[in-house]
Amino acid sequence: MKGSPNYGYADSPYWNDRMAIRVVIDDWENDESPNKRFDCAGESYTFDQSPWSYPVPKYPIKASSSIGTNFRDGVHIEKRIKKLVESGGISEARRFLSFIQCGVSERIDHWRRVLAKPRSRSEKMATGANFEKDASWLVKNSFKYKDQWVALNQGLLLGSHKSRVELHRRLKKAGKLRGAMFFKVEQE
Amino acid sequence: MGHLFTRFHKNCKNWSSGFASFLTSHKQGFHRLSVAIRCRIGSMEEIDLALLDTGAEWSVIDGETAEILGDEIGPSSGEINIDTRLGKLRGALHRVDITLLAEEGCGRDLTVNGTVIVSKEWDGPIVLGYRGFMERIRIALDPGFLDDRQVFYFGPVDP
Repeated sequence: MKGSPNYGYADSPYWNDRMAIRVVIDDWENDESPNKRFDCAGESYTFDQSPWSYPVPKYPIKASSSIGTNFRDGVHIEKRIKKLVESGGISEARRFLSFIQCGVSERIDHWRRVLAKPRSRSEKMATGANFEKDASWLVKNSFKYKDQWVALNQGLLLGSHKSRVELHRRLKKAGKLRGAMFFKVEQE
Repeated sequence: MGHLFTRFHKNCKNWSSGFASFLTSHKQGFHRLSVAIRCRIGSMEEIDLALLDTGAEWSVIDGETAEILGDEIGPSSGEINIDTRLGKLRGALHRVDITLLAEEGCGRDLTVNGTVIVSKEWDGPIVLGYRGFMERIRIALDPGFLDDRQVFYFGPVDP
């Protein structure tokens, strides 16, 4: 698979981007061609860095639909992004968005926001109490609350209701919400 | 029990920033959660059990949870169709904070600003999937075979 490989696996609906990336990385390490280019579904890609940030698109792209020429208006761009997302081509949708300037339309900027990679941060403390007592309460008592939401705190029942929203509202009003653990009890 | 570390020559670095126990085969409503972990969605004060599912493309939040979150989940980009294990559903992508909870003395909580699908049609548990959530954190599961304590480890990818 040297030179400009044509990755047949990109058409398979059962391959997801994560699996595809691994294959590309293996090939990338062995690929000695100077322009680092590959073709997929009629579209050529040239990379200036390692391809694991540019996974193989799953969604078939027509040769005539190259990025930046036929996608000048927001409606078409959005349709394309939506189609990519619905077919599981999230990485491709992200890459596609990276070619489009901010401000083309509010909706596209929103897609950019929701498709951005997640960001994580460590908090200053731990807020999860041991929930052995809650688990023990569920084993002993949950049969009385079939098909209901229950709120527990350290093995104490704070409330129950068929509607989660209503249970939330009641506990909030009573000032008992912080640290409450919500469970939907098993149905028969 | 303690944190997980990575070692490179003589240097050790924390791999995990927090850990907590998890439940297996927990029944919730009609559904069975193979691996259930505790989390906090957005600024909600209560704690939820969520299905940790590396095979799920997206994280999913039901309509009731979204109703509690209210304006916090922000505007929608329009609905999309998604394939789930319960069939096809319609939902919209939103950005929201999800906090993984560490137990006391077991490190610190980890908050992920990620993407979830909010679907009013979804009556299953909160699902934490790969895209928009797990793709930028470390996770490890200790099934507790030796000491009978199942532990879920997590940490940020960036220092």
